[in-house]
Order: sequence, then structure tokens, then C-alpha cells
Amino acid sequence: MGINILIVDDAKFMRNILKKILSGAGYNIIGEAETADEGIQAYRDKKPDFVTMDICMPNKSGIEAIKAIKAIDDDAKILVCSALGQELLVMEAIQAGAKDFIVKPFKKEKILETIEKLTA
Amino acid sequence: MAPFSRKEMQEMIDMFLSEGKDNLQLIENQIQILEKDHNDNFALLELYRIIHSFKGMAGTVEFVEFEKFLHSYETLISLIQEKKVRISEPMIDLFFESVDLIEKSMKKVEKNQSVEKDFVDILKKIEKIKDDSKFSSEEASTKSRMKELFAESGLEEFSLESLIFNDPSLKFYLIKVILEDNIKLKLARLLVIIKNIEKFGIIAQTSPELGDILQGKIEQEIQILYQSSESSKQITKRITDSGEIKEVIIDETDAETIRKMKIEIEEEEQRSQTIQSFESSSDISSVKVDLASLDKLIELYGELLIRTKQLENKLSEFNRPDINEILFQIQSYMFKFQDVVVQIQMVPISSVFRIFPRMVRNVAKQEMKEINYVVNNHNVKVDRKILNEVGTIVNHLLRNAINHGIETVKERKLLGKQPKGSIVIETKIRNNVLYIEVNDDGRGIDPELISQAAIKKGLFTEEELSHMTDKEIINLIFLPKFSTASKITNVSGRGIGMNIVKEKVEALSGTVSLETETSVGTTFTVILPISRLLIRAILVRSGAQIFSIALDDIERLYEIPVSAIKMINSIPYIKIPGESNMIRIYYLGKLFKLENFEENQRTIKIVLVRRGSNMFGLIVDEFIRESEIVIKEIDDLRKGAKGISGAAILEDGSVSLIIDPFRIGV
Repeated sequence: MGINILIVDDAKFMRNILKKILSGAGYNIIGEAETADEGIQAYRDKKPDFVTMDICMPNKSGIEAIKAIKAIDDDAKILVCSALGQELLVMEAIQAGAKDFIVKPFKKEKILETIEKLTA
Repeated sequence: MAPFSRKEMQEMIDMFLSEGKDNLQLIENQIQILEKDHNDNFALLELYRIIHSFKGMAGTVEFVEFEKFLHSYETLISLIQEKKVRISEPMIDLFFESVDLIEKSMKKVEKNQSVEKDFVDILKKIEKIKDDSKFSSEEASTKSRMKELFAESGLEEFSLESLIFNDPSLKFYLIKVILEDNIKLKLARLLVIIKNIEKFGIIAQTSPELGDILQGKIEQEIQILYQSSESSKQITKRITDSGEIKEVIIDETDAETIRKMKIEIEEEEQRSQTIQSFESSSDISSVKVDLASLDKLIELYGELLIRTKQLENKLSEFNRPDINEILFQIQSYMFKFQDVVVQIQMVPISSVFRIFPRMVRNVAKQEMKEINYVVNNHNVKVDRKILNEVGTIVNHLLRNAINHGIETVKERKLLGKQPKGSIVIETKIRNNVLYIEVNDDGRGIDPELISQAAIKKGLFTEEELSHMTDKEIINLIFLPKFSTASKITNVSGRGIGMNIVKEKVEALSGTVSLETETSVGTTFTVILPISRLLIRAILVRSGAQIFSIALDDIERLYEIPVSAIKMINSIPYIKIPGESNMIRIYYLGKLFKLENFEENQRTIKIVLVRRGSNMFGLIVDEFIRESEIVIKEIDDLRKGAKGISGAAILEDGSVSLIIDPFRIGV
């Protein structure tokens, strides 16, 4: 019955942190992807309730992935995870259809609070 | 190298001057293209080429100042070509300023005057742009992209214009958003907030303003002026759906407060522009007049006109042809005076059209459409008082054309049309009337779809529609709350229907009509009087009150026996020869809740008013006469009574209320 989450991030370290925080709070991590293309494919296959998306990834950016996922499902709920100094990219991601963003380094409460709000 | 002889030099200077004039024209043409499309590389290349050769000519004739200026100009263009500097509106202004300056300086050269100091100011401005770009070309392009992102989400710098004042279902809100402490990406945060509310209302202004926000002047608190039909609770919920928000304070406010605020902002802008132009103008061929003085001038003119009419009345009691002759002369000067007064009020319509190319581009992009946007303005000027309204009307029509008219690139290809749609705006003036045509080559308006929508919305039954012509059905789009948009986008979803266009046009005593052909396109034609100063009106009396009704609104005056009134379900109608339908009639006195107007007379006097297909009769006590009246805008009156569009002072000093019969609410 829980909420299914897909994590898209090229850094294993970040994926692990997110996984830990999210599964600790009772969410199901139904998929992980380390490139934008993998993320798009995983969305198609697994239809998650929620996606966390890194912006800077090799080859294709998170912004491209957001656009592609939105084209598959206009209601897709995507949270952008960004590093500092990428404000324009974050804004592009929001314009592409991401619902909200969080800035690295992540704070546990912040992430959980945001996801709770968006999946409500 | 042997120096040139004086004769040779003079010949070269003459050549420089005559070729220079041609070059100047070419430069101006390219700037006009760039004004429309900042990214037109061909125009940039052409501009570079012309300036480069112009520079060479100036060097040859040893006009050092010219050469220096043109060199600086040339390097600026190359920076633009290299994408190190982006073209902005102020830069376009600067380009135009340069053209004026070159022109002036060439005239001086012709008269053998020195041009040494002419280019000092503009050189500084150009160098400043270049300096800024060294440090911040990357930053500038980031900023300008951010600005685009905000614009695409409904927050633009000129967006006060988008507010709607005549739809009571749209409430005004002043929203104060307080962000959490120490948050990092404030601009991105603001964008999330804006996106959360943009589809449900109009975001008119922020404080700090967008320009300042982009410059980094954003603190923990942001105020947003917002117009929406939603409750403050719903809006608060939408805003707090975004993270990192500490508190939202939302106050509902009234249209009057906002209107005043808007006026203050506009006046402030006007003042700063006036100051700027004083600072930068050296050669004075025109002076700026503040609007208050201009209003005063018009008011005084109105007073003079009334006094001369009084004099004319009084004089008719005496047999004094000599004084009559003088009065006649005074009146003929008054007419000339009137022309001047009307002219002073005129401003180029292009000033309000300047924001549209960007809007068209943004909206088209959002809608996955490609649009070639062309404006033929023909130097049309309109009364400054209606300028902003004209802008709003055209804005709605344009957005409508992009959203509903032009098909997506994919659709157009399937239909065998050019992938790029076309929107052409044509403005012209004929016989003191302004015509604005907004033409698109899109899908046209299908009466079948309109019928379906009208049935679905419960506006008409199938039976009623079957009696209507296609044209009548298409005109249903002007009815309130009619929209064929199948889904809400932030273009069409703002509750801005064609009815708002119609209302705005009619508030300016104009008309709007449309021609459409399925899959060929649609043309909206707006017709407006260019000046609101004077109107020809019929004066009528009901009870003790004298009303003026614009001649344009009046179909005919009738005096008929009371027995001609037919009561249908206790509602009074009359039959008019040549009209198939019965015409509804109203006592004007009753509509304005007057006392002592004459009811139950043996004959009744009816003013038949018509606007488009809307026609009805107003019963009055007396037709007084036809007269030219000077409109005085009275805000208090407007607030108080529906259908009063202003007041006029008559020769005897009494006040006549000018009524707009179609806004009384019958």
C-alpha cells in the first residue's frame, strides 16, 4: 500500500543516502537509475508514484529526463535534487515540470517533509 | 601619402554625406528587424557590414569622432554576434538613439559645425554595455533566461496591464510570502510558488519587482499582487504546497486600491522617463509636458467651449450681426484649437505593441507552435487615454490567436499548411476611426464546435441554435463565460474570454467583429474612435435629469402612441417596422431609479439603441437636441451607477450624465 519511489542519480553515494532516508520513513524504493535514459525507462516500466531526480548526469541531463517523463505521464510527481550554484538549471527543471526541489546537502526532515507534501 | 586637396576632400565629404544617408536608412531597417527578433543573425550581420563600411568612410574623410563612435558600435555588434552580449530592449533603444545622433551630426557636418562632443554620451553608454559584458556575459545570459522562465510562468515586467477590472468574480489579493531562514535558491523557490498559482489567476506584480529580484535583491519576504476567483484559503494552500515557506499572509483588496496603485506606478514611470529624456536631450525640438498640465489644458478647453456655446445662446436673443461675426470667428478658432488639443493627446500605438513580440514568442513556444508575427502600424497614433486599453485588447486577441487559432507544427504539416503559422496585425486610421485587425492563418472558428459548446454549457438548446445562422453562432464566443478551450492552459485558463475583449472595446465606444473560415483562418476587427475628448450625442430628459447618449449608439428616435406597446408576460415590447423581432423597451427613469419621470402618457418617446445585434428601446420624457459634448471623466459617478460613462457640462451649467446603454445591465 506504501508509496513507490524511483531514485535517479548518477552518484551511488547520493542514491544510498536517499534510499536510506526514504526507506527508513516507510517508502518503497521500487527502482534506481544512474542515467537519465535508465530513469525514463524505469518510469515507463514501474510507474512509480514519485521520482527524485538529479540534474547533472552524464549524457542526458535530469531536465531532459523530466521532459520525457512528463510526456509519458503529465501527472508525474518529480522532485529535483540539486547542488548549489545550479539555480538556472533548477529553474529549467521546474519549468520542465518538476514539482519542487531540494538542495544538497540534504537534510532528512526537509526531504521527508517535501515528499509528504507532494504525495499527499 | 600625399594629402588630399581641399577640393578632393570636399568631394569626399559630399559623398560621405550622401552615402551616409543611405547607410543610415539601412541601419535603421536592420534595427527594426532586430527589434522584432533579437536573434535575427542575418540582420546582425548586415548591421555589422553597414557600420563597418560607414566607419571606413568616416575614417577616410578624417571625421575622427564619427570613426571612434562607429568603431565602438561595430565592436558591440560583434560581441552580440559572438553571443557575449544579448540584445535587450534598452539596447534597441540605444540603437535607435544612435541613428538619431548620426543623423543630427551629419546635418551639423553639412553646415560645417563641429561634432566633437556629440558622441561622448553614447560612447559611454556603449562602453558600459561592453564592460558589463566582460564580467557578466554569462551572468547576463543566465539572468535573461531566468527572466524568460518567469515570463513563461506568467510573471512579466509589464504585467500590471493584464489585470482585469470589470469582472467582479476575480478578486484582488496582496500576498506576502515569508520564506524560511537561510534558504539558498530563492529565485527557483519563487518560480515554484509562481507556477503553483499561475494557472488559477493573474500574477500582476511582485515586490521586489522582477528586475530587482533578478539582480539578486530578494530577501526573505516577497509580495505578490494576484488576481483570482479562488478564495484566500485555496491560494494559501497552493503557495504552501511549495517547500521552504515560513508563512503566507494574504489580504483581499478592492479594485479601487489596485487601480490607484497602478496609476501611481504609471505616473512614477512617466516621471522618471521625463527626467531621463531631459538629461539626454541636447537639441530641443520637443518638450515633455506632464500629464496633469495636459489634463488641465483639456479641461480649460472644455470650459471655453461651453462658454462660447452659452454666449451663442444668449446672443440669439439680440439682433447683433457684428458680435455674431466675432463669435463665429472665435468658434472657428475653437475648432482649430480642438484639432491641436486632440493631436497633443496622441501617442504612437507602437509604444504599447513593443511587448508583444516577446509574448508571442513565449506563448507560441509553450504551445509548441511556430509563429511568424508581423505588425503593420503605419505610424498610427491614438489618444493616450485609450492606449493601455488598446494594448490589453490586442493582447487578448493575440493570445487567443496563438492559443486557439494557430495549429501546432504537427497539425499544420498534416493539413499541408506551412509549418509556421502567421499572425498579422494591421492598424490604420480612416476618418478619425482606428481599425485594428488581428489576422491568423490558423484553424478558423468552427460553428459546429461552438454550437456543441453552447449546448454543453447550457447557454442555448439545440432547437434555439437551429434557428441561428453560422455567423450568429460564431458570435456566441463574445458571450460571457464562453470558451472553447478544451483544457486549461495558462494562456486561456485565466478566465479571459472574448467577452472581456468585447466589454473593453465597447467601454471605449467601439465595436469588435470577426471573419472566419474553417482551416483558413480568422480575422478580428476592432474599430475604435481615436479620441475620447468629444462625442456627438443626443440629449434626453427623464424626470429632472438630463442624459447624453452617444449618437453612435442610437438607431432611431420614435414617438409612438402608448397603445403600440405590447405586453408579453407583463414585459413591454414594441414592434418596429422593418424589424422581425419585437423590441424590448425600458423606462430610462426606472433604470436609474429616478422619481417624477412621466409614466402612462398617451404617447411615448423612445430612443432605440443598437450595438451589433443587441437592440432595445429607452423611454424618455423629452428629446432635447443633438449636441457636441466634452466628456469629463468622473470616477465617483462610475463607481456609483452602472452605465454612466462620464459627465458633460451643458451650456447652462447643468450636468448631463453620459450613459452607455449597453452597460446599464438590462
